[in-house]
Amino acid sequence: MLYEKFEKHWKIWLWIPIILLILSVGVIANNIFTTGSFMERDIELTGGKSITFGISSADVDAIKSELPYASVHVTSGVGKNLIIEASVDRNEDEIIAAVSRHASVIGSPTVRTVGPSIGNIFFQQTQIALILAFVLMAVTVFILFRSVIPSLIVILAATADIVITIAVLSILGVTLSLAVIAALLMVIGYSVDTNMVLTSELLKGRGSVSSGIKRAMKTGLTMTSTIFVALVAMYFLSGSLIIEQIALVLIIATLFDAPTTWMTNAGVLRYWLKKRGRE
Amino acid sequence: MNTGMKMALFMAVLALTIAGALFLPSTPVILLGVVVLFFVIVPRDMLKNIRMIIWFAFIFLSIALISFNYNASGFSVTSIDKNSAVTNIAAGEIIYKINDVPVTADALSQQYFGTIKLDTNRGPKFVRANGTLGIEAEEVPSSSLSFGLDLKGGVRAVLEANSTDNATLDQIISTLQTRINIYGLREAVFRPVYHEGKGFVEISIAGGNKDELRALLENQGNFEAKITIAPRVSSGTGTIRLEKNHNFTVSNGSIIVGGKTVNEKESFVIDGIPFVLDTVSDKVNMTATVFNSDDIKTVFFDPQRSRIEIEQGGYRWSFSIQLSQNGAQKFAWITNNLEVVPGTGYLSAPIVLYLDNNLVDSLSISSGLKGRVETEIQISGSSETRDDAIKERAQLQSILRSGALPTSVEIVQLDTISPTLGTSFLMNAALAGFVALIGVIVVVGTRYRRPKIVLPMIIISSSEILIILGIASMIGWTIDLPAIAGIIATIGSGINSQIMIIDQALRGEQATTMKEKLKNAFFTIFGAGGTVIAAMIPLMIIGFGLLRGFAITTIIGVLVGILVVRPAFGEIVKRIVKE
Repeated sequence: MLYEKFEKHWKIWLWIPIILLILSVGVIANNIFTTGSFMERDIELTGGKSITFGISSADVDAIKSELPYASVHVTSGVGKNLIIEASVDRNEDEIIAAVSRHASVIGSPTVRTVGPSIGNIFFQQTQIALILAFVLMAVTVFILFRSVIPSLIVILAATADIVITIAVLSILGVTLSLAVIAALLMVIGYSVDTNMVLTSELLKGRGSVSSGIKRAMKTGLTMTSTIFVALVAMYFLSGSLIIEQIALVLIIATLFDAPTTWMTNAGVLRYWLKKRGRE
Repeated sequence: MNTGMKMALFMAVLALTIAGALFLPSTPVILLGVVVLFFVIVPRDMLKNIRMIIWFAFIFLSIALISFNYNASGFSVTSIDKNSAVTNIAAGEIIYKINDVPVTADALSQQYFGTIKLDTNRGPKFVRANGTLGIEAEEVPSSSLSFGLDLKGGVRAVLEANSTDNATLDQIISTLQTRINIYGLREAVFRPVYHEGKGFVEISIAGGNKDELRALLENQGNFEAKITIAPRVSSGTGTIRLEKNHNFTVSNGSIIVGGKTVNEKESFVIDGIPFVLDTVSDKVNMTATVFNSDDIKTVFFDPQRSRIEIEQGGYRWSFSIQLSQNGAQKFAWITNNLEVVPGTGYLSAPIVLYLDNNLVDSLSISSGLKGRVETEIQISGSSETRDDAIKERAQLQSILRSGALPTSVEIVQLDTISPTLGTSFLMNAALAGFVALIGVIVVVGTRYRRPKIVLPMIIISSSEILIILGIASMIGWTIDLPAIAGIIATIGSGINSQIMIIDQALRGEQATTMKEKLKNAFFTIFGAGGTVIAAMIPLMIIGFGLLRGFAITTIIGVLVGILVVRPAFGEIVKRIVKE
């Protein structure tokens, strides 16, 4: 019943993710103009110092006022971590002393120092890897479907998911770290999952297009909500910045993957099949 | 047997297995447990199904490979200090008790005086201690899985070398490895990385700290080469032939040379060469220091002067060094005092190499070099394999360079990872995983409302984690944060695939056979898996650290999923739908 209501206006729904995508491209273009990179980079990719403390409690405001030059982040989770990031030339002992005054620290902290030159190299390498990953993914999809429009749809959907996710992340102030890049690559996988369910259902399935979409959507939304629930648990409980970042990226991506798949892609495939004489 | 009874039996066997694993030898108990569980839950007629057998074989082998050992005790020795009082224990041995008290980390770092008793896996050993024991040890692990630095703490650095060619990076690594061997530093793992013409070396020292890394990078030794001569003594007098002939007389276990009385173990200098008098009996042995670091001008690495050649029964390596004029002269004088051993082509004593007074190697001297002033000399040796030849040559080359690095290096990344954070991370990850599992059960349960569908999903996904870990321990892959992220990614896409299979199988159409329905699902699963692997390959090849580990784990996970686990799940679902 809900589905019938949704289906009635499919020509309107189709445009919503497209508008989102255009807005996201705008956000990313703005990032490139203002910072020179598609998303603000974390110290891992620019060089800097990051110090991670295991804490039981902390006065974050006091730490922030004592260390105005550093960024302070506290993870959720049972065993909380407090992460301080600063430029390479800052003295880590000073930071450790300041944090120890205002927080009950458990054990010794983890200190990471990344030189600016290697940060840049990481960034270049990952950009190359991302582009290559995309090309290889596209080739694989073409080999699988051997049909231009359906392949393009799957590829464009993955692109749209990544672009929208990057835009939302940069609006939320998340910086681009290696963990975020890993998660963005996972987005390709999850996005291809749902889109392949839709596309192969419509290309190979029997029966009407409408019932095919409905069936695919039921499967796809079960997949999305299962992953979503697991990710939310990861986000709130892991207490590790890396897992927290990966979970956040994938939460955003799965949230926006649903509309791109079931509104735009389903709509475009419907058009395409209609032109070939299937209803 | 009905489903309820089966469930009860399943739970009972599971509980028994877990309890047994904690108190009895863990791996056999768990192996027995999974075999029983397999027979409890799998219907008779599916036992011969090839996909189920493959799946089960992977589970069984993985458990054997991970070899759980929850009731492990004792500490395994990782390294022993150069000046440690413990000389009768080697790295790798396990210490269970000190003075009949079970060993703890504190007990190992405590001070001891007098004779103490150590119970080890090679029987009881007695040590005369005077202060701390001077050994490093870590708790015997509860499985053969190796955990990464970010989970157990340690130090990791990336060095940028001031050079772009591969040979230099290999040279840096072998020099650092030589220092570890000679100075008894903590074991480190090295990995060369090239990027756009720049060379990097990634160093990880598990359990180490910043000071240990610094010691490794800055420790430059003092090199000396010594030759022991035994001048012939007749009727109480003998001659050392150097620039001039120096006569000496023997009296009462000491010698008189150049008007000075020298006792055993005392040193003296003649013609600018330092000697130590070793022994005086019917023969006189004395050791001359022929060169030190300053005398070795160049160690050659170029292919003309540093070679590996095939010879009968192995490989012959060789390289040349350039000596100072003074060093070459001293070498010529000293070798004049040696004799040619008939039939061997070598002189009667070898040249012995020391780094910071540690004996590191000894080389036979070719008879042709006796008494000759040669500034360029060749050093060679034989090894059984090519790799050994390269390794041996590199070690000797770095010793002759006094353990100096071939080029200046800069630390471009330095991580010191706290061991406490790693442990708490594992606890949190386990908790997060458990809650995520409950979330998955709730969502899937609401959708399908049948425990018969939900339970296999959980079992299948758990077996997937187990098999990935099994493969990790087989190939010696380290479990670290990126690997855990990769496992999470694969389990997620695995659950996606399982939902696809169930939905396809449950379709009501009578027109399509079950075989075709599953074929459709598997087309999507293989396709999605293939795309993920395609996307991960570039990351696996380029990129270091986090992303590479993540990509490799994800690829392993996806392969396990589509080749082993999902086919078995397909069979299970087929069976469930039939009922």
